[in-house]
Amino acid sequence: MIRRAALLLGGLVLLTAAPLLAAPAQPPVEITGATYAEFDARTDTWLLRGHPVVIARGATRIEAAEVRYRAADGVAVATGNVTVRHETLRLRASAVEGRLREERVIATGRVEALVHRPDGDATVSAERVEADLRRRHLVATGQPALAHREFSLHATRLEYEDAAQVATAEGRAELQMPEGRLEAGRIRARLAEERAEARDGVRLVSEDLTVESPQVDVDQARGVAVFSGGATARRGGDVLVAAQITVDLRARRAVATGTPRLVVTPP
Amino acid sequence: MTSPAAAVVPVLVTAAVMFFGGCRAATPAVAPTLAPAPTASATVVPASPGSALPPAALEEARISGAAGDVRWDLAASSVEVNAAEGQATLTAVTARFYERGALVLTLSAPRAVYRTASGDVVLSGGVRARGAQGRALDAARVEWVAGRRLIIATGSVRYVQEQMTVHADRLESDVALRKTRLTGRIRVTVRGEP
Repeated sequence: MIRRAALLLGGLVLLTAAPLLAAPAQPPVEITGATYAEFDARTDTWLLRGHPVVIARGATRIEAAEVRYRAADGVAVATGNVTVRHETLRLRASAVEGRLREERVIATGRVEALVHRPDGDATVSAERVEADLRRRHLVATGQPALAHREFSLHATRLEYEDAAQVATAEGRAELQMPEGRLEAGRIRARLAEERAEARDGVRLVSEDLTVESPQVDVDQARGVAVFSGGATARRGGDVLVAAQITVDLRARRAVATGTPRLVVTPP
Repeated sequence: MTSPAAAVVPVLVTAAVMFFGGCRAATPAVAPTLAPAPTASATVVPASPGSALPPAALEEARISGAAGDVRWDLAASSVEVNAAEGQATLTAVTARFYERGALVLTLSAPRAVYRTASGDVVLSGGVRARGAQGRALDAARVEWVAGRRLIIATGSVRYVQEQMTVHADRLESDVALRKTRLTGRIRVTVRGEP
């Protein structure tokens, strides 16, 4: 009797839970603005032209002069003054491949992605930008650059995570600041905190001052950089060597700790 | 004993064959035939001035034709043949299009006009078309252009293909809806997984 009641209760729970467990309804894809459309069953592809053609799905909107949409895999290839909008992101490019099922876009040809932020918009420019719209994550290659307020970040490859507000530049990375230029193999910039960390062959050039070390932490708001792991600072003929050198870039003052050694060359 | 209606049928069949036979030379791509269903009944409509043959009305009739690889037939609850105007007007029409023997498109409409000179068929009054692989088309008017072997749909065009619905002002397509062109104000909706 108890077993039967338990089974009945279990069944009831499953029945009532079923609608909750069901996959959420997918938002429809709406295409408007087209004045010409062509479908070819051999390629299973739609060609749409308009001024512009607008593809909207949920919070994502793609605008372009021409769109090729492959219904079988949900891929839309947009060309001609393409604009992608998704929440706080606005991306412009010559061409965009929109993978609507995955909510990903691959933009090519003078791409400019603008992320609206309360403390000032961040702009990512590159030859190619791959954006995961769901995660709000951008990967830029082909001379990528990120500009935010008075800072700019350049590298071979640049990633931007909007949720964490973190930009990571890899491969000949360079951070341009009002106080100078920071070069490294890898630079990670936390935009909200106005801080940056650099690793691998760090080199800072600020007017006549050059500092080199394996790593550095920069407080961009205060204009202070802490070089560690064995740092060397040069200014004219003077050389300062220490385990750690803290440089106030605005006051142009350096504090060395950890067996510091200073070699002064008279002018 | 032959009924009066049955006595009229052979006259109308002859008239129809003569009528279309005279047009065949002008449209070599289309070879239409007109044959009433076995149970058809018909009445003769008074002749219009200057026409060689009197206009005629048939019930439960079929018209069929061909253009290249495309063969078609029209089934209607009534057909009115007007030799002077060179056309047959059909009501409650079902049109079927075949490619190499396979049915590729079925259309139904309240009215249709078959033009004998061109072999064109214009279906109107709200046309519904069903093609292969679930493709469907609704429009106010659909024209079969025999010389170009294509259909042209106009007026509130709605084309459905799997999860995709396309609205447009005009659609132009082959009869199998394999290659389709739409113009005008186009709106596409893709439901479910895109």
